[in-house]
Amino acid sequence: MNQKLQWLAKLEQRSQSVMTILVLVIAVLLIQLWLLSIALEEFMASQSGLAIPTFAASCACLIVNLGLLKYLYDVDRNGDPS
Amino acid sequence: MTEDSTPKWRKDFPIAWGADNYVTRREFTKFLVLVSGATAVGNGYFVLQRREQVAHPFPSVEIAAIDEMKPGQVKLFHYPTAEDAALLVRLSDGTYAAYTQKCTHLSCPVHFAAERGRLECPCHNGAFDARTGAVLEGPPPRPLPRIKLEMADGKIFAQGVIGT
Repeated sequence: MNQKLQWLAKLEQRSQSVMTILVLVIAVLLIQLWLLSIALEEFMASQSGLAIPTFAASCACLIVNLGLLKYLYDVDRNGDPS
Repeated sequence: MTEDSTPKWRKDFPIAWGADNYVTRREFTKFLVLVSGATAVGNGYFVLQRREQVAHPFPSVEIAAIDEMKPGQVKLFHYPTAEDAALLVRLSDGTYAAYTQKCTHLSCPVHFAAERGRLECPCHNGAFDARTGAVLEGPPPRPLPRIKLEMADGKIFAQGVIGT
């Protein structure tokens, strides 16, 4: 029974880690959607001055999200990411 | 815990709430990272479009003779491709201006209202200044894309599309 309680506590801890990662990923994704809307607005206005800066910023956001995904896999693998 | 001592409800619902929440949030996070990648690819599309535009600049196309139109008249032409309808208008002061004919709201064709000196969209009562292409009223979110004109040898040439 004590072992089960420990398992549940660990599960709760991992669940909170995943929740934190989820919130961060959503925040970064919202920034990316904002960048996409800027690029689309520029494109619709037949301008393209911000196409490269928004793409670069979006790629940076993707790298952040991939880092968070790696952290998520670490949580999955170890339950206690280093 | 032996097999026999497991209550029936546990056999019916073997996954704990915590484990279920953990898995669904983890999978949702992975899906959002995939969406993040798709969004970056979407941004890349606009970079490719920009490169395409630089690689293939707008052609120079003769669209009218300089003395062909009187002030207040309008001429339809297609630029930069045969699918892109455009308007050449001669303003009351004798100058020329050309715009793509697609309203920036929902792409209805605009027409020239010479008496009011503006281009009007009949679909949702949008109006653009015929001199600048700026939005005067109605729902259009952006000015009409203006076509760059060049006068040479008594002729008018279209030489590009300017966004604002």
